[in-house]
Amino acid sequence: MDNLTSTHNLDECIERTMRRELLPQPVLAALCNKLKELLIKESNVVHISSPVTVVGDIHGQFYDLLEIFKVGGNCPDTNYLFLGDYVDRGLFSVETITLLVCLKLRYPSRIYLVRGNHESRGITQSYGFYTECVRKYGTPKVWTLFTDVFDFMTLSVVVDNQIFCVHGGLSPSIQSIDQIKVIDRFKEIPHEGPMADLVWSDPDETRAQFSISPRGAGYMFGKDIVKVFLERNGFDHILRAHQLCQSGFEILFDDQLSTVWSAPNYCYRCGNMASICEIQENGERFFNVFDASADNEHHMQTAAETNIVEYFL
Amino acid sequence: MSKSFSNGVWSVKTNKGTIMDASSMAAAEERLQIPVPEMIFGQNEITVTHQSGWKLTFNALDALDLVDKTGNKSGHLQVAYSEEWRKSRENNSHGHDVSKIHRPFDWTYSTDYKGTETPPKLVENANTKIPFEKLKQQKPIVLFDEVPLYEDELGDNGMVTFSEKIRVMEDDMLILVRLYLRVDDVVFRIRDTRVYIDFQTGHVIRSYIEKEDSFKNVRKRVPIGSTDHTQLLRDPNWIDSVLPTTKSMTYDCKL
Repeated sequence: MDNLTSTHNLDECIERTMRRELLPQPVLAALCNKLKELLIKESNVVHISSPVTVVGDIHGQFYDLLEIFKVGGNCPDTNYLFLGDYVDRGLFSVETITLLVCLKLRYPSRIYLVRGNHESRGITQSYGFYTECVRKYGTPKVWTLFTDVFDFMTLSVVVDNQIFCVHGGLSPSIQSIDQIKVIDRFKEIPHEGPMADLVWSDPDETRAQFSISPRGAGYMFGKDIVKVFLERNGFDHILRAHQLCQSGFEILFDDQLSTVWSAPNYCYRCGNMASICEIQENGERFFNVFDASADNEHHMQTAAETNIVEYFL
Repeated sequence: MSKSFSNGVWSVKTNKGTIMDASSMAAAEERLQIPVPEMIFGQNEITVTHQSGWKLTFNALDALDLVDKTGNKSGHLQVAYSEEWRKSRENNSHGHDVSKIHRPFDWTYSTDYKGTETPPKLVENANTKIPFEKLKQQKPIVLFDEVPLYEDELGDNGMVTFSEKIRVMEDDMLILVRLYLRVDDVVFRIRDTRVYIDFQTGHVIRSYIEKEDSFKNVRKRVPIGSTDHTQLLRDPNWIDSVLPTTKSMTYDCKL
């Protein structure tokens, strides 16, 4: 098994995945097992230093992930922090997560992968990743391998002791990051509790405190909540993903919180921009905005696209 | 991107752009007084105009204006695990007052919009119907378009899409505007508005159909032995074929 995950082989896996070749199932099994051994050592709150480039939701838009490496620089020349939602919705979730798994194994201290709400068995059965695995490999085994890895991904990252990075947002159960450190994260994302809130919750500009979503589950958090959390933990900013932004990013609450969104032309029809957030050594944040890769259209001649006229009733 | 057609008496125009930016969304919230869906295609519309000045158009904001803004009429639908979620929270709010929903509204964005008509001419007529047999004859299509109006991922608890399709032939045309809703483990809902126009006779027919069933009932209709049942449950065409009709109305007018 070990020779499959040697540096030499990882380089080959990265190269082949970049060309959108699917890796054989036994290779994926070896890679996923190795990665679990690596991720289990990461804390629920990983501390890293700038410079680092932070990436938001990708959702299986593989060609746009390759575009990110063109815009932001290759790994490991650039340090990367991904904030989750690697899979579902896009056409190439398998290729996207395969590449990220390989890169994390090859350069473990140059790239960090935070868990998003789509890194879950339940969600991926409703939003495409499960179906894509079955279609591309003829069996759900590959889906099992990847979703097992998801259980090991960290929940948050702090950059330079200043910027708190998470997929969704804050939780009423979490006042200090010490309360994140004690969460037992090695499991499916639960429906409720602090682990759910970290990957699900959204900021709310209309209310200062916490409020419940009109859907009857999930929190929204306001400006005062953010201010108190930052002060108590000695941070100055929250950087999160999880929500679509037409211009690729959004800055809220007097620059105390920002959302980074990295899936341009989301679902191949929204026409939105995307961005990556480059945190420089002096702590400055720069949102590097980019548009959808031209390669998408080239590789996306699906049946629906070519059959332009439809005799619907 | 826009497409158009005219035969001298009738003209059709479709328009497609990107989703709204943050400032347009803020303006929309101001107008509608509810939090808006995350994807609104604000420039998108289909408009049909008759030489007499009669006009029928379909756009996102007019549709959203008909969404239940208090949640009272639509029965405060909740996601599947809402009860469980709430119970676990009751004794665990850490001093935060989060006992009730601040601003309830129909977060599924289930509109019963049937188009914006000026001046109003269409009247209810139970004895008219769209000639589907005629539409099944595949006559050459001179204009086809598919135009999304709004979508929301319901915080990853399902999806709602509101979108329209149009096909114009030499003698007639058909528009289908569909609201498609899936709330995971709760409900499926389809609301279809069809507009058929016969260019020879000037007869305009509009039908409106509501279909709905529980997620549980729909899941029972997935064929046994299906290798990936999740795929059928995500296929609006299959869902449409198994949902029972709960409401049906027809309207017409002559121009």
